[in-house]
Amino acid sequence: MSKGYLCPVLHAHLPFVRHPEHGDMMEERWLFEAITETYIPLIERYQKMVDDGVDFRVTMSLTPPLMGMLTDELLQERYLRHLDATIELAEKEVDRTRWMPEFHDTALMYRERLTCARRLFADEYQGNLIRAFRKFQDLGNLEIITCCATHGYLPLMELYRPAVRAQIELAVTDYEHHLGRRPRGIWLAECAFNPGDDKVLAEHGIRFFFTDAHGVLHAHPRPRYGVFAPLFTPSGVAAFGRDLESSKQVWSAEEGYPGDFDYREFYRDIGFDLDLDYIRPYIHESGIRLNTGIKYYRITARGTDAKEPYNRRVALAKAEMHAGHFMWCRERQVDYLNTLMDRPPIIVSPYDAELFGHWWYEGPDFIHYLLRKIATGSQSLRLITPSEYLANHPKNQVAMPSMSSWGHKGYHEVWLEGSNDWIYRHLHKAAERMIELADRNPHAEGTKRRALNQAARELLLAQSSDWAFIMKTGTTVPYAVKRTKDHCVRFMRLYNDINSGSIDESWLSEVESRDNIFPRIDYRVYTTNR
Amino acid sequence: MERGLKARDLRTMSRDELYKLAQKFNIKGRSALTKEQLIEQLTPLVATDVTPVSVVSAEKPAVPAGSAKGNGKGSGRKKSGSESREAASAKSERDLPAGRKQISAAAAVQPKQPAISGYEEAVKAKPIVARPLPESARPGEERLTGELPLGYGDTRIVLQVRDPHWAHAYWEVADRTRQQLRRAIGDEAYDRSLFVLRVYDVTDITFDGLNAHSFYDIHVFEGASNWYLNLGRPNCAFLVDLGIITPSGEFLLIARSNAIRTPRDTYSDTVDDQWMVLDEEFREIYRASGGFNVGASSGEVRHALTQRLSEQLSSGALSSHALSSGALSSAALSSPGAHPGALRKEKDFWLVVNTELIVYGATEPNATLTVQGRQVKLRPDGTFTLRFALPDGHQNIPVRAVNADGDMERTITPVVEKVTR
Repeated sequence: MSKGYLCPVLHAHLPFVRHPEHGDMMEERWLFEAITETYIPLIERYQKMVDDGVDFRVTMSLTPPLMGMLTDELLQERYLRHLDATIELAEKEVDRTRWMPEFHDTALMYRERLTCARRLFADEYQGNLIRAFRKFQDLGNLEIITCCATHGYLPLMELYRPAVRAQIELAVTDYEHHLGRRPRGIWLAECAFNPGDDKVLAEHGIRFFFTDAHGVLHAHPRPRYGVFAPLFTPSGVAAFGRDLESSKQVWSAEEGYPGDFDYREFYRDIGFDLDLDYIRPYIHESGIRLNTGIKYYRITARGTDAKEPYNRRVALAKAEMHAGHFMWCRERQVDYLNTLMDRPPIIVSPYDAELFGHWWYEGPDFIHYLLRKIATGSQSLRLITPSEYLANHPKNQVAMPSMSSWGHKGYHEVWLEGSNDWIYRHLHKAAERMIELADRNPHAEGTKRRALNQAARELLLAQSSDWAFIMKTGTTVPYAVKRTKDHCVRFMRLYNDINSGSIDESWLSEVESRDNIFPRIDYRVYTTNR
Repeated sequence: MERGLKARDLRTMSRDELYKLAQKFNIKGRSALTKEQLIEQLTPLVATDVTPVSVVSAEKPAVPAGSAKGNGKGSGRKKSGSESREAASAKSERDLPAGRKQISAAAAVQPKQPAISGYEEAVKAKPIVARPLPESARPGEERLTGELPLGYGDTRIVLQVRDPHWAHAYWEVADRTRQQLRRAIGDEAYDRSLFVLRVYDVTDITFDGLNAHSFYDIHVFEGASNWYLNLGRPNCAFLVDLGIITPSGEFLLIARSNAIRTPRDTYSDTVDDQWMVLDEEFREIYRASGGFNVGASSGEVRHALTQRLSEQLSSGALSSHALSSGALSSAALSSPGAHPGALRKEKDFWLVVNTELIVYGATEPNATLTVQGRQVKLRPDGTFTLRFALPDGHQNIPVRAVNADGDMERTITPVVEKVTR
């Protein structure tokens, strides 16, 4: 009998960055890189375990914007084009490095991995990776959970309950559309919980969510098992608390695994290093240098310029070692917790999925080794999904978790500070007006109905917590500001046009074609009394 | 004439009137615009439905002193936000007779720090740039974007929790509310009145305006529109009144906020008797759960990660648009084998030289070609190009072509010697 559970959770999310109006929009590359470097490698490794009969468990959130983009034909087409260009570059790199044995194997690796990625994407799943994730869910290895509709930060919209409800309801219906059943769990955007939101989750059939450690720890009344058992909120939804120790082992800038010297260096990319004429077809069409994803060096001690060549074999051996170390640490943690608890502890370890692969190149291999080792070789540890845990342990303490998020300092400061606090008066106004529109137009049809639906989409897109986060972190700020303004401006225009009865159909069509998230949306989700 | 103009008024104007207005705003290509298009272009330049505004025109960037509001540009608004952020706030605490304990020392009286007025900032904002004419019937980029208004003509205040100790308030006072206040107390008294945020502790009560556990005032400038409040009391409920204190000491309410409750900053005192353990045992599991490091490990790496994710990816929507060949010069620092940014940080001067070798040629399009024994894909016209990084040393590069029938072949072997001195 296992003495404890490990519940790894990967939160896969990107903001909705679809720009049909541009031929080469840099922000779309966020998606392309995440597909090549994170989503496809994870799918490949899940498949490998399935092929080998390894009975693993992992929980993943696929956010509605991400699912929307992964199933969008335009983006699928553009991704394939991007991938083909990268394969072409990888071919050239195999030639270029022919007389440089220290780099040649790595060049061959890129060509091989990219070619496999293309086969998986285009042939096996016909461009739709949701099919792959769904397959593993149907096999019982993967539990897919949802997330707030556009990654909206719920505690900062609490004055507008219908807006909170819309973030949940649209997520649930979108999930159902893509995955054929309703979600059992949700990853609240930024892990941000506001007491009372659990009631909305309960109303939509969601059975569990996650909080950061202190959400559960500071629950009322006091949680008997700390973060090592879920709580039931008064409305009956389970709250799982994040384990900080296991998070830190991967996250921490100093002690985290990804900084190991055997792992691939993120910063040295041929998009910056090689002659412009050579690299030009593979960077931005304007000639601005970008990451191509082809990198030849491993992480080397800080303060030296001379980087050592990357060695894939050595790096993989290290990833396997780190997975073993991580498992060993969890086993010791479980041993210790067994002295404090009268039931098996659950260790919940959530991470941003894109950490694995895009930034930490060997991350998907680490996940693979970890899941495989625990599934096949751990005496005391068992992999589990939240749904399975709740089935095994249906009796849990009732308590209301505390308001919290997983942002820096644990509350809302990342999303509510000098760089981004200006957005809330506009987001709130738009939410207020959307509710007003829905209440005043209970049975709209035709163009008016389209305009109302589009107004809802604009509000939702403006509410993505990503924009405030980017404003705070200080990179690509103009893009985040522009997205916030554009969606608010489009919303306000729709609001005025709907109220004055003068909807410009050609303008509406243009906006619909751009901001096409939630094609099946019904604006009445914003009605006050439903 | 544009003073006090409202967006909906545009629809009542003739094309000639609209054209004159377009002249004032220096809208390019205005003579070619239809009435609808003129309205389209002018709408964002005049006020939202309710607020009267005066507008900054391209010819006259400065707004005469005393005008109510500029058409808000993001920069002005953002700045006012950041400068009033966490500014030392003057708080004079006055507990009500039935009040609870005093507010913590952290919230004690500090010297008053003037906040920058949002309106003053707006006046300094950039002049409006006339938007280009849409090129076709299809809506152009300029009709899908724009600036946000400074306010919505409301009088209200909204309070939001930031963390167990701080909250953020933003507010707006409609001009008509100000005018009402002026009329009520007279211009002179109004000008000498203080704008205050009155912060009430309303923990576990239904507030009726008088029954707060305690309250204190924060003096803000009339032009401020948001403030960070150091409440200093986790797990308590608060509410804020925005108002003025007249020279005679009377408090006049302008707007009352929603109530908020700050989160607990430690574990609950309440123990569930079904799930009871000894205090020492609970503290042990609390410690094992990382309870004494709340928030410490969360954001740090994520922040760094996101920076890495995006710093080289993107220069924003605007730049994706606006990049011209002129923008290339800074990016075109072609330094093979070295990351210029990384090197320049540490050294005053640097040089990196790498060499590459290009081998190219042509044969029959259906021939088979190998270079150093490895097959090379020919282009449809039979040409090929290979580009090699060229390290020091000696290279024999046999290029061998065999015809489609496999009965004829040619081999040419360039020999290259590279030495670096």
